[in-house]
Amino acid sequence: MHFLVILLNHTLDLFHGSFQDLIYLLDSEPILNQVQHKVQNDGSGSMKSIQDEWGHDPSVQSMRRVFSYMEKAQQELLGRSNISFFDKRLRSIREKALELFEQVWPLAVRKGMITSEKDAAPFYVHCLARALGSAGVEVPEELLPGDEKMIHFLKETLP
Amino acid sequence: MIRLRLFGRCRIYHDPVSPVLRAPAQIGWEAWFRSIDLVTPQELKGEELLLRTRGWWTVEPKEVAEVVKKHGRLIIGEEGELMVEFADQKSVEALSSALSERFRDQVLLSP
Repeated sequence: MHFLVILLNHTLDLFHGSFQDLIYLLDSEPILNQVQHKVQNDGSGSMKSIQDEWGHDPSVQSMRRVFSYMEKAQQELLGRSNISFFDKRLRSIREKALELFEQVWPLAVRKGMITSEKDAAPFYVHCLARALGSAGVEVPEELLPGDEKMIHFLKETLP
Repeated sequence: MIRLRLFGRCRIYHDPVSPVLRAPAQIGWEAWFRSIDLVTPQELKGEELLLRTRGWWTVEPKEVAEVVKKHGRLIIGEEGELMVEFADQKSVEALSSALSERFRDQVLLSP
Protein backbone atom coordinates (compact mmCIF):
# COMPACT_ATOMS: atom_id res chain seq x y z
CA MET A 1 0.00 0.00 0.00
CA HIS A 2 2.84 2.31 0.87
CA PHE A 3 4.36 1.62 -2.52
CA LEU A 4 1.05 2.47 -4.17
CA VAL A 5 0.86 5.82 -2.39
CA ILE A 6 4.39 6.73 -3.39
CA LEU A 7 3.90 5.64 -6.96
CA LEU A 8 0.62 7.52 -7.26
CA ASN A 9 2.25 10.62 -5.86
CA HIS A 10 5.06 10.21 -8.33
CA THR A 11 2.66 9.89 -11.24
CA LEU A 12 0.41 12.71 -10.16
CA ASP A 13 3.28 15.02 -9.27
CA LEU A 14 4.50 14.85 -12.82
CA PHE A 15 1.21 16.16 -14.03
CA HIS A 16 -0.11 18.40 -11.31
CA GLY A 17 3.24 20.07 -10.95
CA SER A 18 4.82 20.86 -14.22
CA PHE A 19 2.65 19.42 -16.92
CA GLN A 20 -0.85 19.45 -15.61
CA ASP A 21 -2.13 20.85 -18.84
CA LEU A 22 -0.75 17.91 -20.74
CA ILE A 23 -3.34 15.75 -19.02
CA TYR A 24 -5.61 16.21 -21.95
CA LEU A 25 -3.24 13.96 -23.87
CA LEU A 26 -3.69 11.26 -21.33
CA ASP A 27 -6.38 9.09 -20.00
CA SER A 28 -4.85 8.57 -16.59
CA GLU A 29 -7.15 5.75 -15.59
CA PRO A 30 -5.18 3.02 -17.38
CA ILE A 31 -2.02 4.21 -15.65
CA LEU A 32 -3.63 3.98 -12.24
CA ASN A 33 -4.99 0.54 -13.04
CA GLN A 34 -1.53 -0.58 -13.96
CA VAL A 35 -0.11 0.85 -10.79
CA GLN A 36 -2.60 -1.22 -8.81
CA HIS A 37 -1.80 -4.26 -10.93
CA LYS A 38 1.91 -3.72 -10.32
CA VAL A 39 1.37 -3.52 -6.57
CA GLN A 40 -0.51 -6.81 -6.63
CA ASN A 41 2.32 -8.39 -8.54
CA ASP A 42 4.86 -6.99 -6.15
CA GLY A 43 3.06 -7.98 -3.00
CA SER A 44 6.18 -9.81 -1.91
CA GLY A 45 8.04 -6.54 -1.94
CA SER A 46 10.53 -7.74 -4.50
CA MET A 47 11.06 -5.86 -7.73
CA LYS A 48 14.17 -7.40 -9.17
CA SER A 49 13.56 -7.06 -12.86
CA ILE A 50 12.82 -3.66 -14.28
CA GLN A 51 10.20 -4.27 -16.89
CA ASP A 52 8.29 -1.82 -19.01
CA GLU A 53 4.81 -2.41 -17.62
CA TRP A 54 3.50 0.87 -19.01
CA GLY A 55 4.89 0.74 -22.52
CA HIS A 56 1.81 -0.80 -24.08
CA ASP A 57 -0.46 2.01 -22.87
CA PRO A 58 -1.22 4.43 -25.73
CA SER A 59 -1.48 7.41 -23.38
CA VAL A 60 1.92 6.64 -21.87
CA GLN A 61 3.39 6.13 -25.32
CA SER A 62 2.02 9.53 -26.26
CA MET A 63 3.58 11.24 -23.25
CA ARG A 64 6.88 9.52 -23.94
CA ARG A 65 6.86 10.92 -27.45
CA VAL A 66 6.05 14.43 -26.17
CA PHE A 67 9.02 14.34 -23.77
CA SER A 68 11.21 12.77 -26.39
CA TYR A 69 10.50 15.57 -28.89
CA MET A 70 11.21 18.14 -26.17
CA GLU A 71 14.48 16.49 -25.20
CA LYS A 72 15.65 16.25 -28.79
CA ALA A 73 14.77 19.90 -29.41
CA GLN A 74 16.59 20.92 -26.24
CA GLN A 75 19.71 19.00 -27.22
CA GLU A 76 19.71 20.52 -30.69
CA LEU A 77 19.38 24.07 -29.43
CA LEU A 78 22.05 23.63 -26.76
CA GLY A 79 24.36 21.97 -29.28
CA ARG A 80 23.91 24.74 -31.83
CA SER A 81 24.41 27.35 -29.10
CA ASN A 82 27.69 25.68 -28.13
CA ILE A 83 26.53 25.02 -24.58
CA SER A 84 28.15 21.97 -23.04
CA PHE A 85 25.75 19.56 -21.35
CA PHE A 86 27.98 19.90 -18.27
CA ASP A 87 27.87 23.71 -18.27
CA LYS A 88 27.09 24.86 -14.72
CA ARG A 89 24.63 27.46 -15.99
CA LEU A 90 22.40 24.76 -17.43
CA ARG A 91 20.63 24.03 -14.19
CA SER A 92 19.27 27.52 -13.71
CA ILE A 93 18.66 27.86 -17.45
CA ARG A 94 16.54 24.70 -17.48
CA GLU A 95 14.69 25.86 -14.36
CA LYS A 96 13.92 29.21 -15.97
CA ALA A 97 12.86 27.54 -19.23
CA LEU A 98 10.50 25.24 -17.34
CA GLU A 99 9.05 28.18 -15.44
CA LEU A 100 8.36 30.02 -18.70
CA PHE A 101 7.02 26.89 -20.38
CA GLU A 102 4.58 26.26 -17.55
CA GLN A 103 3.42 29.85 -17.90
CA VAL A 104 2.93 29.57 -21.65
CA TRP A 105 1.58 26.06 -22.02
CA PRO A 106 -1.89 26.40 -20.45
CA LEU A 107 -2.54 29.57 -22.42
CA ALA A 108 -1.49 27.88 -25.65
CA VAL A 109 -3.79 24.95 -24.88
CA ARG A 110 -6.68 27.34 -24.20
CA LYS A 111 -6.03 29.15 -27.46
CA GLY A 112 -6.19 25.87 -29.38
CA MET A 113 -2.59 26.12 -30.51
CA ILE A 114 -1.73 22.61 -29.43
CA THR A 115 -2.87 20.04 -31.92
CA SER A 116 -0.30 17.27 -31.79
CA GLU A 117 2.34 15.60 -29.65
CA LYS A 118 5.01 17.56 -31.47
CA ASP A 119 3.66 20.95 -30.43
CA ALA A 120 5.20 21.12 -26.95
CA ALA A 121 8.75 21.02 -28.29
CA PRO A 122 8.77 24.29 -30.28
CA PHE A 123 7.11 26.14 -27.40
CA TYR A 124 9.72 24.75 -25.04
CA VAL A 125 12.56 25.70 -27.37
CA HIS A 126 11.39 29.31 -27.41
CA CYS A 127 11.23 29.28 -23.61
CA LEU A 128 14.70 27.75 -23.46
CA ALA A 129 16.01 30.45 -25.80
CA ARG A 130 14.56 33.11 -23.49
CA ALA A 131 16.22 31.43 -20.51
CA LEU A 132 19.52 31.26 -22.36
CA GLY A 133 19.16 34.95 -23.17
CA SER A 134 18.65 35.73 -19.48
CA ALA A 135 21.92 33.93 -18.78
CA GLY A 136 23.71 36.01 -21.39
CA VAL A 137 23.66 33.43 -24.19
CA GLU A 138 22.01 34.97 -27.20
CA VAL A 139 20.34 32.47 -29.52
CA PRO A 140 20.16 33.51 -33.17
CA GLU A 141 16.55 33.72 -34.38
CA GLU A 142 17.24 31.35 -37.25
CA LEU A 143 17.77 28.54 -34.71
CA LEU A 144 14.25 28.94 -33.38
CA PRO A 145 11.00 27.49 -34.76
CA GLY A 146 9.66 30.13 -37.10
CA ASP A 147 5.91 29.71 -36.77
CA GLU A 148 4.63 33.31 -36.93
CA LYS A 149 1.47 32.63 -34.93
CA MET A 150 3.52 31.07 -32.15
CA ILE A 151 6.08 33.86 -32.12
CA HIS A 152 3.35 36.50 -31.93
CA PHE A 153 1.64 34.59 -29.12
CA LEU A 154 4.92 34.26 -27.17
CA LYS A 155 5.66 37.96 -27.53
CA GLU A 156 2.26 38.71 -26.02
CA THR A 157 2.52 36.10 -23.30
CA LEU A 158 6.16 36.56 -22.33
CA PRO A 159 6.87 40.27 -22.66
CA MET B 1 35.89 19.59 -7.31
CA ILE B 2 33.11 19.28 -9.85
CA ARG B 3 29.60 18.27 -8.87
CA LEU B 4 26.94 17.07 -11.29
CA ARG B 5 23.52 15.63 -10.68
CA LEU B 6 22.72 12.07 -11.67
CA PHE B 7 19.58 11.56 -13.75
CA GLY B 8 17.90 8.35 -14.76
CA ARG B 9 14.88 7.93 -16.96
CA CYS B 10 11.45 7.74 -15.37
CA ARG B 11 10.18 4.21 -15.72
CA ILE B 12 6.79 5.45 -16.87
CA TYR B 13 7.49 8.44 -19.12
CA HIS B 14 11.18 7.93 -19.90
CA ASP B 15 12.06 11.58 -19.29
CA PRO B 16 15.17 12.36 -17.21
CA VAL B 17 14.42 12.53 -13.48
CA SER B 18 16.64 12.77 -10.43
CA PRO B 19 15.75 12.09 -6.79
CA VAL B 20 15.90 14.89 -4.25
CA LEU B 21 15.95 14.27 -0.52
CA ARG B 22 13.32 16.80 0.59
CA ALA B 23 13.50 15.88 4.28
CA PRO B 24 15.57 13.48 6.33
CA ALA B 25 14.11 10.11 7.24
CA GLN B 26 12.55 10.08 10.72
CA ILE B 27 13.85 7.07 12.61
CA GLY B 28 11.96 6.01 15.69
CA TRP B 29 12.29 2.98 17.95
CA GLU B 30 10.02 0.31 19.38
CA ALA B 31 11.02 -1.99 22.19
CA TRP B 32 9.59 -5.06 23.94
CA PHE B 33 9.70 -3.67 27.47
CA ARG B 34 9.44 0.08 27.17
CA SER B 35 8.17 2.90 25.01
CA ILE B 36 10.69 5.09 23.30
CA ASP B 37 9.63 8.56 22.20
CA LEU B 38 12.92 9.41 20.57
CA VAL B 39 12.72 10.21 16.85
CA THR B 40 15.95 11.03 15.11
CA PRO B 41 16.25 12.59 11.69
CA GLN B 42 18.55 10.50 9.54
CA GLU B 43 20.18 11.95 6.45
CA LEU B 44 20.81 9.51 3.63
CA LYS B 45 24.17 9.11 1.96
CA GLY B 46 24.45 9.54 -1.81
CA GLU B 47 24.51 5.85 -2.55
CA GLU B 48 21.56 5.25 -0.23
CA LEU B 49 19.50 7.80 -2.11
CA LEU B 50 20.56 6.31 -5.43
CA LEU B 51 19.45 2.85 -4.30
CA ARG B 52 16.04 4.27 -3.51
CA THR B 53 15.49 4.98 -7.18
CA ARG B 54 14.97 1.26 -7.61
CA GLY B 55 11.77 0.74 -9.53
CA TRP B 56 11.51 4.41 -10.45
CA TRP B 57 14.27 4.47 -13.02
CA THR B 58 14.53 2.26 -16.09
CA VAL B 59 17.79 0.79 -14.83
CA GLU B 60 18.94 -1.05 -11.74
CA PRO B 61 20.53 1.50 -9.37
CA LYS B 62 23.01 -0.98 -7.90
CA GLU B 63 24.54 -1.35 -11.35
CA VAL B 64 24.62 2.43 -11.73
CA ALA B 65 26.38 2.79 -8.37
CA GLU B 66 29.05 0.28 -9.41
CA VAL B 67 29.85 2.29 -12.53
CA VAL B 68 29.70 5.69 -10.83
CA LYS B 69 32.00 4.75 -7.95
CA LYS B 70 34.84 3.99 -10.34
CA HIS B 71 34.98 7.63 -11.42
CA GLY B 72 33.45 9.80 -8.70
CA ARG B 73 31.80 9.95 -5.30
CA LEU B 74 28.05 9.77 -4.78
CA ILE B 75 26.92 12.56 -2.48
CA ILE B 76 23.84 14.48 -1.43
CA GLY B 77 23.90 18.09 -2.61
CA GLU B 78 23.11 21.09 -0.47
CA GLU B 79 19.47 20.98 -1.52
CA GLY B 80 19.14 17.21 -1.23
CA GLU B 81 20.08 16.43 -4.82
CA LEU B 82 21.67 13.16 -5.84
CA MET B 83 25.08 14.21 -7.13
CA VAL B 84 28.41 12.82 -8.21
CA GLU B 85 31.52 14.63 -7.07
CA PHE B 86 34.54 14.47 -9.36
CA ALA B 87 38.17 15.38 -8.89
CA ASP B 88 38.47 16.85 -12.37
CA GLN B 89 36.86 17.23 -15.79
CA LYS B 90 38.64 14.14 -17.06
CA SER B 91 36.72 12.01 -14.54
CA VAL B 92 33.46 13.63 -15.67
CA GLU B 93 34.15 12.66 -19.26
CA ALA B 94 35.21 9.16 -18.23
CA LEU B 95 32.03 8.53 -16.24
CA SER B 96 29.84 10.01 -18.93
CA SER B 97 31.38 7.60 -21.46
CA ALA B 98 31.11 4.65 -19.07
CA LEU B 99 27.44 5.40 -18.41
CA SER B 100 26.69 5.66 -22.13
CA GLU B 101 28.50 2.42 -22.80
CA ARG B 102 26.69 0.53 -20.05
CA PHE B 103 23.25 2.15 -20.04
CA ARG B 104 23.09 3.94 -23.41
CA ASP B 105 21.08 7.15 -22.80
CA GLN B 106 19.29 5.89 -19.68
CA VAL B 107 21.60 7.53 -17.13
CA LEU B 108 22.80 11.09 -17.53
CA LEU B 109 25.05 13.58 -15.77
CA SER B 110 23.89 17.15 -15.71
CA PRO B 111 24.21 20.32 -13.59
